[in-house]
Amino acid sequence: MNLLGQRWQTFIARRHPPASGSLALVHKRIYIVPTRRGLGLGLLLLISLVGAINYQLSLGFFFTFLLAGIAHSALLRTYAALLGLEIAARPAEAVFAGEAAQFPLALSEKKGRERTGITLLSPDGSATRCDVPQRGEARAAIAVAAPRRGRLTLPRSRIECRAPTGWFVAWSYLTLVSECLVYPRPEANPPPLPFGARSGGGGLQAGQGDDDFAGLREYHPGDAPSRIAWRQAARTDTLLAKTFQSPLASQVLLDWEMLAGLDTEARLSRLAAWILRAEAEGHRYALVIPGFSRPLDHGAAHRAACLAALALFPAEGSGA
Amino acid sequence: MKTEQRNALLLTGAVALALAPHLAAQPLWLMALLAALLALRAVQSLTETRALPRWLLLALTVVLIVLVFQAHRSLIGRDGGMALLASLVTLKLFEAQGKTRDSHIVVMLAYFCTGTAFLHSQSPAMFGLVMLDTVAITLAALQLERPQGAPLQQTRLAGRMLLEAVPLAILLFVLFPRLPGPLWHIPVERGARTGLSSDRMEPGQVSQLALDDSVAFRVEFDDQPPPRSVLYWRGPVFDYFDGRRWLPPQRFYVPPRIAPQGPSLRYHITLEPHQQRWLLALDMPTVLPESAQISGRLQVMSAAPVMLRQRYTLASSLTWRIDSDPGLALARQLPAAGNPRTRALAAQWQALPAEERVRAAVAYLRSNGFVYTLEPPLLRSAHSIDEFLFDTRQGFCEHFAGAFTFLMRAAGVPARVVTGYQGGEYNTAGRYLIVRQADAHAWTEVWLDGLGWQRIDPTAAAAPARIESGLARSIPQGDSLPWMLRGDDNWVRLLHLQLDVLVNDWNQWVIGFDARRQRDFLQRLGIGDFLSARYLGWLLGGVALILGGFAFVILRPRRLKLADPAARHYQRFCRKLARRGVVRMPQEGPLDFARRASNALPHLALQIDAITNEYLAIRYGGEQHRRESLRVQVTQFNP
Amino acid sequence: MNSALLPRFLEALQRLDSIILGKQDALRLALSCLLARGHLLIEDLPGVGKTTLAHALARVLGLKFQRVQFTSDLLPADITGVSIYDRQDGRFRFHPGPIFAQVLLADEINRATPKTQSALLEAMAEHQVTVDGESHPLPRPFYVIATQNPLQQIGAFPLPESQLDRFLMRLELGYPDERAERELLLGQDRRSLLSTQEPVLGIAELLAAQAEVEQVHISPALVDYVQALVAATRNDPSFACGLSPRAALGLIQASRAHAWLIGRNMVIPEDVQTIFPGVAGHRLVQRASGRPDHAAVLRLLAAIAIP
Repeated sequence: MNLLGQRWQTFIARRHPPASGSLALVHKRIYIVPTRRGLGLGLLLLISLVGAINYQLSLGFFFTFLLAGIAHSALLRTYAALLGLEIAARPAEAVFAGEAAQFPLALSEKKGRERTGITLLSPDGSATRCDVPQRGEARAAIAVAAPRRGRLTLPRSRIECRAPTGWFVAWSYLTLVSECLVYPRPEANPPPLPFGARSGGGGLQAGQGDDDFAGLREYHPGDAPSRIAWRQAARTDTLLAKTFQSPLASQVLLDWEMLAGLDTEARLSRLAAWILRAEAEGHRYALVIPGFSRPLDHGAAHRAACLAALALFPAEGSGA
Repeated sequence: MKTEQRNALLLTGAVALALAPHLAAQPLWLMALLAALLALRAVQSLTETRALPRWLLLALTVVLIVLVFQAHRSLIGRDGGMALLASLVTLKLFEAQGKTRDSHIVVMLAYFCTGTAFLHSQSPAMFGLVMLDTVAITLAALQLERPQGAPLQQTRLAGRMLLEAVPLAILLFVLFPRLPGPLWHIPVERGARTGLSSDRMEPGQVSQLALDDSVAFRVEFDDQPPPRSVLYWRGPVFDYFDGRRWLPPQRFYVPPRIAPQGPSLRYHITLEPHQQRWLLALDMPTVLPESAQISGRLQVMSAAPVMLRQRYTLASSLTWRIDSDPGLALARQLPAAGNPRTRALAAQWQALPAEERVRAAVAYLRSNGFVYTLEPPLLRSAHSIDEFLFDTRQGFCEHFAGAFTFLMRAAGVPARVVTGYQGGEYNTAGRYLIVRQADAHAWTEVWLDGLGWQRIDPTAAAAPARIESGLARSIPQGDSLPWMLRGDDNWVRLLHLQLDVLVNDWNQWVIGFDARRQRDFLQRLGIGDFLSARYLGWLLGGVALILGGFAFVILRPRRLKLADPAARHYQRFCRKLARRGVVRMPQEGPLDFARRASNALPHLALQIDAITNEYLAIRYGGEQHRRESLRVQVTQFNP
Repeated sequence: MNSALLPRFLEALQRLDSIILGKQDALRLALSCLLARGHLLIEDLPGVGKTTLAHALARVLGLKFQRVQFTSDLLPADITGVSIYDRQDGRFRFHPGPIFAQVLLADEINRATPKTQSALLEAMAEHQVTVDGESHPLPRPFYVIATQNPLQQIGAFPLPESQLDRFLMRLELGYPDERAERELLLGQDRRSLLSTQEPVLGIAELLAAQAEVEQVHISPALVDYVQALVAATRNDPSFACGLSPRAALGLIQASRAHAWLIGRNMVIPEDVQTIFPGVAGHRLVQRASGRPDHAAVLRLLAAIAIP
């Protein structure tokens, strides 16, 4: 990067401080220049002006100036498409390392102008186009590659517009504060799940568990007094006992210590893969890693909490 | 129709429209070829045929370049260059199939082609065509950037952009400094000549023009226009007779001096381009326009052929005297033989003084049953003048002028044929004279010692009405004449005259807005020259005002236009209260607001409550019939 | 609109006001909630009169009610009822639980285990109880008035969002103002006052009033406003998720009831604004903390213009 480029970068960084939540494009943060097509039109104007002078063509002059006026009209519209547009960051869905994080943005229009051809450009060059209806809102997402686990912040990206003619490009920079959680990349072919690590392997049998109420049966001598259903017994003159049961599905304990011998990232990768598999196969699982543990459970919230813990696990050598 | 098809068709149409004026000026085969290619492209976009292969396009390009060079012997300049450009745009249109970048290049070229159409004509009709095409091309450009755009909405946008451009265009049109001449020399292209010919004059030539009602030139007089009978507009002069045709002067000499004998008459002529050098002037010109000169035969000649409509000012004297002419001998030339009967007739007058000889010849034409007609019989004999004077006795002005000049020369009086226009139609709506091609005329000039060259119109002897009241009254009723040339004042004709006023103004103020007119106009604004602060003030101030004005209009937020009339009335009510300092918050409900407003303005509480209840009943209770009552109450509400 | 029923309901309100002192707005909202056929959640600190309010509502409306004190060892069957083998008949007989009432007072609902909570809430949603594969419909009207203690306490199971959505409204009572508190301290015991109350209304009147509430006019302009509010909750990044369509429907229903109680035959934005915090407050949880954010709800209400 040359000196001029650096100067420009610092200039831009100063002019576009990070904004939390949402930002509105105000006139001093919008830049506009002619595109190559616009420069072509400029050349055309020059040629027709010289032609009009040389051939003393009155209407040639008029035509040239008329084209200039149309160009100005296009310029204003290109500029107007961005001016006053409000952009807000919406929460980003977590992704796995190696995928592209999608940072959803809401573009809202409050000035009563239809805005077409708004393009969002992420620093790596991927573009999304959207039209924002008059006094409405449009959704668009900026895709950013997420190579490593952890928190990924939305980099400074560009919002630009070339509509309606493509002769001018108006742009501004989005410096919205938005984060996306990046889970560790799941190991491609993980070893089988460590079933029942806590109780020594194998599924639990019906009638042995104590998690779920299964029903009532007649009291057998020897049943624990805490299991007697006193309320129902009182109503029915029969001594009844409550029975409980654990599901046949197995329990999985995902323990950091089981994976001794692997380095941090490999461990996280495997744990992530196991969480996904346990969730997919309907097992209940618990996660224990240094500084975090989560009891047996399953479901989207559990999965998200576990993966988030893996994502935010301190990197090796970071001292935490 | 799919959007791509529609957009491709639109672009093709815009290009076709842009090329149309150019093609009309090209050789027929080139025009046909390019038109066929455009039609092919249109069909292609409709049927979604595959693009033409690259090699075929390349081959077509080479063929077209060669053909254009064949036709024009040049690939630059107006005609050759435009032919080449038209060919390339057409082929580019094929290449641009489905490619946005190439389509954008086509758009630029189409703009250029449509602008250069003014090289062919700057008429109001052409102006309209170009404006229409500019909208079409802009629409095509809009569609390239937004292919799914709704056509109607996009067309409205394109039209709006054009209208927004007009104020800036007018401002710069008026203020942009015009140069008095071109930046560099432009090669003169030989265009088709119109109107009178300066090559030769022979029977039947002027009468062809008699049916042409197109305008030759327009004249504004500084004072009262002179009577019709002296309106002889002097054009090409012919002084060599080869037995059948009259030919232009072969030798050049110093023009004789004209001594005006009456008051000088100043007038301005706006001459339609006729691609020839001679200009028209009233007999006899005394003050010439800049950059024009007078020839030995007293013809006003411009420095270059008149390719564009031109306005010039001159002055003439209606009576004059010329003392000597070094070229007088040329006006006695006659072929060695031919027309014996005419020579014999002239010989009878040899003894008379010159004036009497002229009078005798005029009397001969007047008294021998000569007929002035648009459809004279063809003169087949080798002795054409004999045939006319003694056999057919029917002719148009060139017959009379030619025969009379011959008769004079045979009688020993120096004479020559003058062509030009006679008369014209005074347009009272615009206070100027329209002279049409149909007013073309030919007459004779004879040299009388002591007076010099004097005009004799032999046609006037045979058909005095031609000079007094124009062509329509002087020919037999059976001859067919165009509407505009007929004498009766029908409404079509009056409408046409009104229209001609517009055309004339257009010519004077739009097309004729040159360096001189600009100078005059700017002086009226108090601007001396282009470097003055005042000029810059007008220019920059005007540009800033226009650009800033549109920026304001386009960039300002639009007030929400409420669809519900009840909501609009309520908004009006809120504005009235806001003026009294009670401003409704956007999130504030009508009842809450009414409570607050009533507290602030207790004396209005009843009215505020009534209006609020009315509004609530309409907007939230669905009782639309109470809308009128709300309107009335809000209107009467004056806090 | 001049409904013959309205004065009766206003009388009921007055009666309630004499029991629960100084809480007119909350009472009006509670009544709106019941008129809109919605379940009510009362959330506040212990001792401000949550249970008394629930009792009083049931009493004054003349509804048959059951009270269940939720505890951590309460089982689903304790609420729904059980099938018990009858030796005489030789078959199972269903013993209905306390849920088979017109008003179920679920005291301290957040003390029960999630399993018990969900049993109750499923019954609320489906309006029936299924035991041993047999469905038993619940009476109509059927209301759950639940109370809960907002303070995070050991052994409490906060209701998950999906369950909270089943409650049309959530009310907070707050401390009484000085005057009301003084009256409270001087007056007789509220509970004993309650036990002497005669019902003001009957079921037939409640059902008829509900039918009238259904007729209150909703204009397109008002729907615009409700939609704008709902859209704003969905777009606000500080909330974990926005209001559900069910919540939006409930908002309109409760607003209708509120308008009806005022004697208006159309809903105006003010009704919606009054109802909105009650309907949205418990549904909108902060993304960061996972807890309801009432201040944000009020902020949002202030930020949305009435179209």
